[in-house]
Amino acid sequence: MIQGFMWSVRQTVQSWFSQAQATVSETEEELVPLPDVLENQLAQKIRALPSPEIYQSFIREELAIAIETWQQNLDAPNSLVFLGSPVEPIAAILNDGLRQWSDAPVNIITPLPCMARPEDPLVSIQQIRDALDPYTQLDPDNQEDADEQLDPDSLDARQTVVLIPCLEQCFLRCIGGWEGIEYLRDVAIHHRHCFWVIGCSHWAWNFLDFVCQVSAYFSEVKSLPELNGEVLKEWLDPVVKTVIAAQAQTEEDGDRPDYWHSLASKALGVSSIAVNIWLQSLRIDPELVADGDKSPDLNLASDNPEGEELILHEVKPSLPSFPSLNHGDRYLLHSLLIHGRMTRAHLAFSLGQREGQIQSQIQALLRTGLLERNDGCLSVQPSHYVRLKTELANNNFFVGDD
Amino acid sequence: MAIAPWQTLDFSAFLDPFLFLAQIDSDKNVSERLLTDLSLRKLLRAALTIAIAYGSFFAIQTATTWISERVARRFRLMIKQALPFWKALILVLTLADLFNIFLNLSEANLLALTGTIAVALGFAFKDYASSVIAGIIALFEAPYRMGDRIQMEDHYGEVVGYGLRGIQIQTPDDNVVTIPHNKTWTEAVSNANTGNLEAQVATTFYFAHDADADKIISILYQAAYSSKYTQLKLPIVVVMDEQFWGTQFKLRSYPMDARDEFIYKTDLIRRAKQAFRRYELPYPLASRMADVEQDGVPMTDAPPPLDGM
Repeated sequence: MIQGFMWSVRQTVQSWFSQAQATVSETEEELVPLPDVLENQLAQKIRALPSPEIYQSFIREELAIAIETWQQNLDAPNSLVFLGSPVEPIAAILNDGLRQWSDAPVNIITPLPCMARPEDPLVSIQQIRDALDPYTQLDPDNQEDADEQLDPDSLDARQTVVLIPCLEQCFLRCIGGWEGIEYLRDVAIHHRHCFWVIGCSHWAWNFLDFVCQVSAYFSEVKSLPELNGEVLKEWLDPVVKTVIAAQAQTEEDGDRPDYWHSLASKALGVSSIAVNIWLQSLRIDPELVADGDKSPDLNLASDNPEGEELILHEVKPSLPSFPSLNHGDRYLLHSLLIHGRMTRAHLAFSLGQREGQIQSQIQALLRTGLLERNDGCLSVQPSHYVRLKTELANNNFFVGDD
Repeated sequence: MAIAPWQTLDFSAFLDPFLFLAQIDSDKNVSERLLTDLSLRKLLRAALTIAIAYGSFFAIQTATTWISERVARRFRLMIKQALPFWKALILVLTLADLFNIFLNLSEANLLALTGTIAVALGFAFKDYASSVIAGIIALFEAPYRMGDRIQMEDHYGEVVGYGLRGIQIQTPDDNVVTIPHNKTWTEAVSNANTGNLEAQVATTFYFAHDADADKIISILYQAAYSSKYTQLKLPIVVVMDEQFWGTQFKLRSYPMDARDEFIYKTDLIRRAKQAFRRYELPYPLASRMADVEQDGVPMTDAPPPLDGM
């Protein structure tokens, strides 16, 4: 309780300081927020960017060390877990990181490529079995005794890395809902000739640690590094440079380090939160959106060098206002943060309610902007994550260690 | 000089019956010194003090309830538990001001005053004084605090009021029961959460002797872990007890908020029953249990009052 309180105090104080340091645009009041169409176009541009390079290099470096140790030492751990914020696309980050690993010393297999949860969550264990079945390296008949002394010659056979990029999609919080995780856990400990790389959110990992003690089986756990202002700027620059007013970028403060530092601080160094806060800090000349019949198109210079460039402005980055929540909302949002993306049916099942009972809640939360819906799945809007975490911690919910 | 015979007489025996009059006179002097002169200004000031105290009582009670129900859960009890101290502070300040207005509190007067009060309370307000003293002691010993869920005699509920004379508890049926503090002298107080947000909930299940106990225990653990209300940071335990009509399983776990205990219990039972049905786990035979009830033999130990709604 005291830790949670201190955490929230620290967040508040940090936000005060970062606000003080932020650059305030003189023309802020004359500008208006971006129309949804423009914001979506920009979000798509950013989604097309590869994950921040610092994430990718971190993953490759940690993996290289862990795999080398595993290949040289019989008793070395045969797994490495990467944890990130529940609003961070950890699967995409892991995939990007390993795709760029040209001199990987092993063969990487991905039997569970960020699968969607089955309609009936009780068959998830069967889905996982079926996914592992084609791989002879993971044959259940050839599993080793976890306590057996291994033959030193078997080190040569350690050439396979099993990648599970999104562990939170392999379980649902219901009776029998994490049997698949228990199965994976047991397969991993009995197949020490395979190295297991797992991506998961802090919240899901904490939950799984409570219910099936995953930390005891996968002892090597690394958290993704926090992004600082400089890294954020470098990552978003390909998009930023094409839309932000040229004068803002040539001011005497040049790269506007205060702006990026403030953005990174508010986003807690998480890329997805930073992107959303950045998008919400963009403003446009009201004259450009005054014409109701025709919304402005994002005509980037890079897309069409001859077209008329649309210039946007950045204002002080800030977290969006947080709506008031009732008890039911908190339980719903807590479940979403544990599971990551999930369908409405799965959300209702995890809460022990019927879909109809939570429909009105979901609609209200979608309207406030706390939830977003993509491809039929619900997830928490990243820019609200920071305050939502504090809210849940203050209401005695367990939260992730991110 | 000759002395008249009557001059040598001892009058003490004669005066003895009148000595109590002198005592009365002396008490009157003390009384006059104890009480200050009354004036309209003093009466108005006293009335103002009492009005302010009453208003403050009302304002603090209302503000505490309003704020505590709107802040995050972990601050709720903190705010509620401060209420009795605020009330005590107002009471002490009010009494001090009234004494200051109407009394001359010298050492002797204080002695006389306390004696008088002790006699008055001892005879007329014995139970009231006992409750007030018990309430003050309860503030420090804390057998119950605001927001706690307690059982006293046949009453179970959340402490929603802490007054000078007693506490008010809100029962699950939404009744408010007032219990004087002096009950703590003689009655046991069962406190489910003792100042914490969580209180253990024990949920009982019954099965036939030949039911798969390992499967049942596994399901019960999963029911607790999967409930959205469960505080996962606190221990979850399943215990078994063998009865001649079947096997009793008790799931002990904690909801994140003790207020959710009944809805939490319902959620646990509903989740568990769905799984029991899926695995076709056998319940005790109804005929056997009916026989037991007809014979008047208790089916099991009476559930503790905290279990029941």
